Amino acid sequence: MAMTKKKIVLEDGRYLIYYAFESKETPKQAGNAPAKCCDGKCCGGAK
Amino acid sequence: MSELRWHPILEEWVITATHRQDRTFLPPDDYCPLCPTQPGAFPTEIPSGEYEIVTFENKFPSLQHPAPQPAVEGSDLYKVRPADGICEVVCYSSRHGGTLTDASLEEMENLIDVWTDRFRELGSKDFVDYVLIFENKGKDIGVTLTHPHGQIYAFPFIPPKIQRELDSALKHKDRTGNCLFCDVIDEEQRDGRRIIAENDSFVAMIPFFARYPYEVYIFSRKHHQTMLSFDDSEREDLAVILKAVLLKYDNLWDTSQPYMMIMHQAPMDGRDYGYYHYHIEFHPPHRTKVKLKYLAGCESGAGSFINDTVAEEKAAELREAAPRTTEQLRITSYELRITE
Repeated sequence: MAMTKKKIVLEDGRYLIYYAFESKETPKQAGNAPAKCCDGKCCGGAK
Repeated sequence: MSELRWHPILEEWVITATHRQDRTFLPPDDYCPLCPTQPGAFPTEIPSGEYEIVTFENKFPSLQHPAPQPAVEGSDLYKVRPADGICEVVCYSSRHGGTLTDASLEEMENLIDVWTDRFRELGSKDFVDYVLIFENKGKDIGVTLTHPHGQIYAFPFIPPKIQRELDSALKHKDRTGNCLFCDVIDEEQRDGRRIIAENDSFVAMIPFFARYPYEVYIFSRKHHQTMLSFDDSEREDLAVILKAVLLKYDNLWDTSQPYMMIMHQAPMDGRDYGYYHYHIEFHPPHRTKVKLKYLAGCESGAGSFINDTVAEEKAAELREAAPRTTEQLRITSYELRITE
């Protein structure tokens, strides 16, 4: 499973890192929501 | 005001961080700073939408880099130095509700990958000697935000408890030639009564010397010093046993068990700690469903723990709580959660 990370700098100078993971069912990029809801594992069934 | 003040009697550093008095305290769910910022709503700590795992520098850090100069002048007896280091918050999910127990095995593996990445990156900084990954869960522990999250402290020194473990391990190695922790695992496996879960790579137990009634240790079977040397199957096995222990805690009394979870790894100060051994400790404050184990006069004042229970009995309770085997966990991880 591939992990990607996207680092940004917040307004007050602190850093924040988004981590995303490419699974077989839901390819994603760091900092973005899944393109399509999966079987509930990504959102706890909220979507 | 933020600085390190030397405690000459205990010979350890105390972190002074007065700005933390003003940190956000149990905000309403609608104003959770760890949820993603919604369009038109108040800005949270996380500017973009849904996320899988996010880590960021704590807004109210105990340690920061670069650190401000101490506000007080030290002396030969009362040494002071800047509180240099990094404090990160790790949000396990953009879901506000739930806990780490609710993470799927895949999500748990992802978190282990993030922990490994943060450990490597923070540990590589020249002002960092030790990286502590931990989670405080539940109001009984004093958490100020309920959104599922953990923390990472990158210290400019080796914390005293870790130093004490290192000293014990080195002494044992010199005396016996063995790893202290490997010997603990062997002794516990021979006895068997205090094991609560195990798989190919890890073993979870309430050890003989437990100080809290439900104090669980997870040891790697192989003699690893840090998670940096885990292979893929070990990372997968860690996810499974972590999930098993968390489920057992919650299923024990059909409640969301508060705990402190602390990952103990070798220091990252460039020295050789081949005699140390990776493990995770859980310190749950409850001694029964409704009673807390307080660290009172004897524990806080003298550093001597009184455990009102015996590890053999408490381990049997946790062993019986679902899931009874980690294999069972793989098949029915969602069905096994019987709380809420």
